[in-house]
Amino acid sequence: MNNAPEPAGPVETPIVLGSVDRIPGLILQRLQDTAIQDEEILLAAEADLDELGHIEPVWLLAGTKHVVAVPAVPDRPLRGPYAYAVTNDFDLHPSIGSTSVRVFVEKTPFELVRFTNEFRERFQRVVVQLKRIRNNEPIQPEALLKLNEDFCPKCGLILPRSGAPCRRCVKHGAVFQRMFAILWHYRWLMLALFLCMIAGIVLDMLPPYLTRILVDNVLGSQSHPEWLLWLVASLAGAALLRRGIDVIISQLTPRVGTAMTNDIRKRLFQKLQEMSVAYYDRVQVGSLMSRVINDVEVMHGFVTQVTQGFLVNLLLILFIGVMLFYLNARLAFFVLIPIPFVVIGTLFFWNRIYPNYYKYWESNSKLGAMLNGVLSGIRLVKVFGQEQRETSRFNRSVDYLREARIRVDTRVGAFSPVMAYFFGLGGLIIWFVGGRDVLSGVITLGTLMAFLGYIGMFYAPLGSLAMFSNWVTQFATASQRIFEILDMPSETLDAPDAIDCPDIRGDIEFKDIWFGYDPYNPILKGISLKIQAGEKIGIVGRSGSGKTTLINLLCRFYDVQRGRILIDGEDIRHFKQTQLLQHLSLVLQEPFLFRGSVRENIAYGRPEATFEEILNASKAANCHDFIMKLSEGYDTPLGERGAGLSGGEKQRISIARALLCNPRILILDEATSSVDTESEQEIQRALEVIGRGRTLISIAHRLSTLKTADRIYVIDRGQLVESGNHAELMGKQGTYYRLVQIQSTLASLDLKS
Amino acid sequence: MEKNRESAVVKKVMDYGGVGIRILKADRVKIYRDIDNLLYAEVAEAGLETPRLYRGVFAVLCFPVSGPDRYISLRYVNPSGQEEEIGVIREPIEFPREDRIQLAKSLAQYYFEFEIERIVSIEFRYNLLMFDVLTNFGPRQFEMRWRGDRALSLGEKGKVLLDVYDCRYIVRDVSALPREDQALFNRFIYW
Ligand SMILES: Nc1ncnc2c1ncn2[C@@H]1O[C@H](COP(=O)(O)OP(=O)(O)O)[C@@H](O)[C@H]1O
Ligand SMILES: [Mg+2]
Repeated sequence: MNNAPEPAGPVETPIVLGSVDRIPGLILQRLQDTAIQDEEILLAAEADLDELGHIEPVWLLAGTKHVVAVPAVPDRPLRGPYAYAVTNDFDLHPSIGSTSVRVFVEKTPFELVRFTNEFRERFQRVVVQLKRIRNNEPIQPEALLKLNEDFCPKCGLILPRSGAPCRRCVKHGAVFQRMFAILWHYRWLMLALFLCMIAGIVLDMLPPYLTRILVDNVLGSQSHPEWLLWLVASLAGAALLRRGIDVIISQLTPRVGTAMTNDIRKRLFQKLQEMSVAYYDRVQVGSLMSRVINDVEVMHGFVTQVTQGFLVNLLLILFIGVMLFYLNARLAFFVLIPIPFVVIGTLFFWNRIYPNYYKYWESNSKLGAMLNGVLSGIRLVKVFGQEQRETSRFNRSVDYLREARIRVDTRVGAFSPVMAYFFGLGGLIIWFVGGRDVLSGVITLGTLMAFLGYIGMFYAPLGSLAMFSNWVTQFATASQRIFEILDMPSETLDAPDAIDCPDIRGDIEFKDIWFGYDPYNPILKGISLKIQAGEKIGIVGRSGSGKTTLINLLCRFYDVQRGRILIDGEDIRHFKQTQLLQHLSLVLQEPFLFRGSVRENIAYGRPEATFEEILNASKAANCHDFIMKLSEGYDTPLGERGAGLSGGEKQRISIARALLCNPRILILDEATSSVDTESEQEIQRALEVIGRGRTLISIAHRLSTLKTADRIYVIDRGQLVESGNHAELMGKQGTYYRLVQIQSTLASLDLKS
Repeated sequence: MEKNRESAVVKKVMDYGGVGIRILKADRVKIYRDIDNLLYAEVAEAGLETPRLYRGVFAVLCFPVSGPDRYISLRYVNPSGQEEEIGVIREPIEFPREDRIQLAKSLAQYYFEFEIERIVSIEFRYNLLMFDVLTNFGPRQFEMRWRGDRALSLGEKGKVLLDVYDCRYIVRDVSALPREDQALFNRFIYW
């Protein structure tokens, strides 16, 4: 980003956004003999794609009267200059992988400049200023030069979220530190484990040493034949103790590991519940599941590795190394010869052979996903007669899995014997060198035997130590991904000064709302509307016009980008969300029922509701009678997503659920679209009774249901185009009138057929 | 009898009672770019004496992955500001060369992707994957969030990576990358 532009040539203090801090002379030269040549340039911004889609600089220059785009490549034509006087508007237009700034002339969009999305944020600011210049408003240099808050102002790295500390620039709690903070809870268990390990290692060291005494002092020189029994008994005792310790370790380790993974899983789930709906738009549920299940498992593996593998191995190598040099330093040096091979071999394993596992895991998870997809859609498969194709698709997946498995197994299988050979090599060297020393009497036979014993325990841990860096990488990645979730600010958490709302009246006001799921692509464009407590409001509009989005904002599943939503005159962002949602009930087009009984489903929002309340709500929602026909009445279990009920029945249950909460504001989002006309009318009548004293917002597909609404808002392409009651809107003969016309034609067709 | 049934089936597939897509045949459409640098389409429409002229036309692929050479949707922004489809060109190859050049140019503007040819390195740091790659536009470095929704499947064999700015980096066929690049790639992008 550039600051403080200097005056350059004939141009007076333009604000320059680009890779250089003044407009290149070549660019300015190209303005000669154009309408903009004598104008003061107010603003210049560099883009990076030319008209052919090649990466070439193109400059957008905004003068006082004209705007023009100038390619740096000399023979490419200018775009413009366009006089502001003839333009209608400017906008930012996304296409696939790039974005452009368009100027509208006579309502036709012309592309001014195109750029990779890297510059999207820059040109978003530029477009705002272009509009200001067009309206003869002064440009706002501070708004233009403002740094993008999604990126670190120091190093340019993207931030975990807008304005958050940069991971590169702020050295915050290292992963290991945090892991150990979690493990700290289990410090006594860990200490016990550790002590067992030390004891185990000491016991491991014992047998070769005893063997040495046995060979040298009992069998060889025969100086202490009476030791034989004691030595053998000691060996047996050591072995017994050693196995005993193994048993203790095997009892302790899973406790530590599972205690920790349990802890982390619970925290993860807690966190995931706190995340907003917008978060779930962004992430794939599959990847979240893999975190809760797999990544935590990797951490478990790591704990086992640290406590049983890594530490033990490190200590073993240390102890054995010391012992070898103590027994005979010269011979100990020969032990070191195969070490490079062991290390190289291990690295080879991790870099070449281990990655085959990734492929295997991938195909494994793909197979699972495929199976899940087919089985949950089995009815579709059968209806379309695609069993054959699904079978062959499945077979292909299975074959792929098999191939991946073969590759893993054959490579690992070929690798292991080679490594074993190198491990064995060490022993052979010692046999030879040590053997000569024994023959020449430099060392005793017992020492050689002890050496061979220790070597057997030496190389294997070395190999696993070489793998340690990879364990660490894996562990670090897994825990980082977990911490990424745990560290996420709970989006639904309320502001620290959020206020209680034990009771609300139910006045709602939308004030100039702007919102887009993708902020560069607004869905709602400046909607303002006012609803008084107790009113019956209808919202209509084509599908995709933004009706559901409006409701999503009211429920604070998403926050508005511009404007405010007020309930009882207070910005809804100031309320505690859970409390606010208690006063709101929502019935969706797609009824969502949980596994459980009918009663549990109806009482979902108020588990403490009495039987009678449940019955009343059901009666009101017109589902009582069909429920009574079920074999176990209200205790009939429902399958996954309410399997066993018709669409209309499910919908009525979800209406009962909403009613039971006795909300101040009841929202029906196309709730009755999938119900037949007859039950719709019954529900409608029920709603009229229930609706007394509540604010009722109903988004209706069938307009006939809105005849009695106090007011109807018509939304089109994210804007409010009409409002009034049914009669008024019919009188206007506008959008609503046309929609009604279409529907009554369809309805009469319906009757005829 | 047999024959009749067959033709009935064909008819059922073809006939959507005028609500299906409109296929634009080469003899009924003329595409050209005017001095205002906008693309125009002249379409001979049923019931009109003179061809209808569409201004500010652009092209979008219907099947960018499975059939990038066929089925191009011609679209424009209508006077009330809404994007609208003029029709679909089934076989661009049947169009005159000049028209095809204009279509290709329009597509090149609509789609902008870096095609990854080699992978120099991938590092996981600061919770981001740092890519150093060779693309059809030369060497590029980019950063991407390591999340499932940032690396999407591109057909059966490929992947689209979305960097932190939402720029698109594509690998059409992962198995066609050199082996060590593949190993590196699969190490991080394996879903
Ligand atoms: N979660 C989402 N993420 C991105 N875009 C969305 C999401 N939900 C809806 N949209 C888009 O927002 C627009 C308005 O959708 P919506 O409010 O559901 O329309 P309506 O309820 O009026 O039919 C549509 O173009 C839709 O594609
Ligand atoms: Mg909707």
